[in-house]
Amino acid sequence: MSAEESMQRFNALVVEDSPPMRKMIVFALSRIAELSVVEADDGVDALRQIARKRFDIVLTDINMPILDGLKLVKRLRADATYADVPIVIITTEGAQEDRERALALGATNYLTKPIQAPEVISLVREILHLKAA
Amino acid sequence: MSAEKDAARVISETAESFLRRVIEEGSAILSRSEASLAAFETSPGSGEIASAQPRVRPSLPSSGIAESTRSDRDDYFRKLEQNEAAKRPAPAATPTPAEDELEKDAREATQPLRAAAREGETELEKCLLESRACLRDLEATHFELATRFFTALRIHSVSETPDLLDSLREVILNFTGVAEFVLFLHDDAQGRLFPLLCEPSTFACSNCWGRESAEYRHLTKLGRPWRVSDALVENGRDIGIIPMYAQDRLVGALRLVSFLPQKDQLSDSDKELLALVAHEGAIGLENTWNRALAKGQRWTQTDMEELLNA
Repeated sequence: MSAEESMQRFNALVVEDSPPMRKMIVFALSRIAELSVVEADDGVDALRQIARKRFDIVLTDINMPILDGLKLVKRLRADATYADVPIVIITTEGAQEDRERALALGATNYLTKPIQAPEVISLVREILHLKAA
Repeated sequence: MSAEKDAARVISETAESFLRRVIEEGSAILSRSEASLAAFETSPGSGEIASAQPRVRPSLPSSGIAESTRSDRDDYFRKLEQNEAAKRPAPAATPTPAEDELEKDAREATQPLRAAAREGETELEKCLLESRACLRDLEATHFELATRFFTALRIHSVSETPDLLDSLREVILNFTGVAEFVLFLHDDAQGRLFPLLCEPSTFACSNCWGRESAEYRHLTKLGRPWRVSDALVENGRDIGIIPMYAQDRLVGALRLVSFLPQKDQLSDSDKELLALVAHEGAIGLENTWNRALAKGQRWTQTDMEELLNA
């Protein structure tokens, strides 16, 4: 195990269908040394990853093919092992009713695109109670 | 016998009454002591209370009290006094005139040093704030460059035109916050720009820009890839129009119509990304077009050598 891997105490799952956006979020989160990040293309791929590994935080888009972000939140909240795991929504849907719907389903935070990478980093740090680098 | 019994009863009653009185008085003394102790302990100026109200040692009935009880009480009051003495602050020593003089000299001598230290501290805080601001700027630039890198990588890694259009759509929507836009392609033969991609798909965008239109004239006039320092081509309704040039060839144009609700203008960084999307996107469109045309063709050494003028 490398020194970097031994520091990674938390697992994050990034669910986003747009490859450049997904790469960008993963790249931003790679700045958090304590975090190991896994990518998923959509909600179904996310459920597949979740079945394999336990995640401490999930960051997901809403508009995705097959299984969208809101359905994913609903499925995760129905699962006792994911009832308390923080879920951050990252979406272009900026209307207040979209935000309220996501939070009512159990999302922890709601960020609208275009996102600023430092904003995502500090939010994840805050949620996982990690000190700023 | 009866007289003896009577005498014994009288003695017993007297002793009982005496002992009861001793116990009652003792209890009252203890209660007063405890109340006084509690007041002393909870009062902020406990030392003053102690000195203002000296504890009077009560006189106890001497007869009939066991020595052990008296010894316990003496012990109790001794401990009480020790406690109070320990809590009383030590009297402050009055400095001598020589000590006063010495302290004054030391204060005067260290005055410039302390002023310099304060100034240094302020300067250090200022430097620290500037460094933090620099670091934040550097970090923002770092992420902007990374965004451009991932965008260019995506544009040039797709081989089919529909995938390329999807990527351009995702980048414009997710990274610049432009919600409604149209990607036009240039029809070289007819000399007009026609809409190829509308975002969202429900957005009505069937109008073409022919040679006579102001948009077409503006877009063809540039003759090179669009730069951030160039103004957006304006039509009075939209955010603006950006030509898509692959070197000197006009491949298409991006008509940016409106923003997402949470966005209201393009930043310099958004314009940089749009310049990249327009240029690399145009090259990508040429590439996917050429790739589609050359799909059935086989590469030969002669063809390659001709291309390289070898």
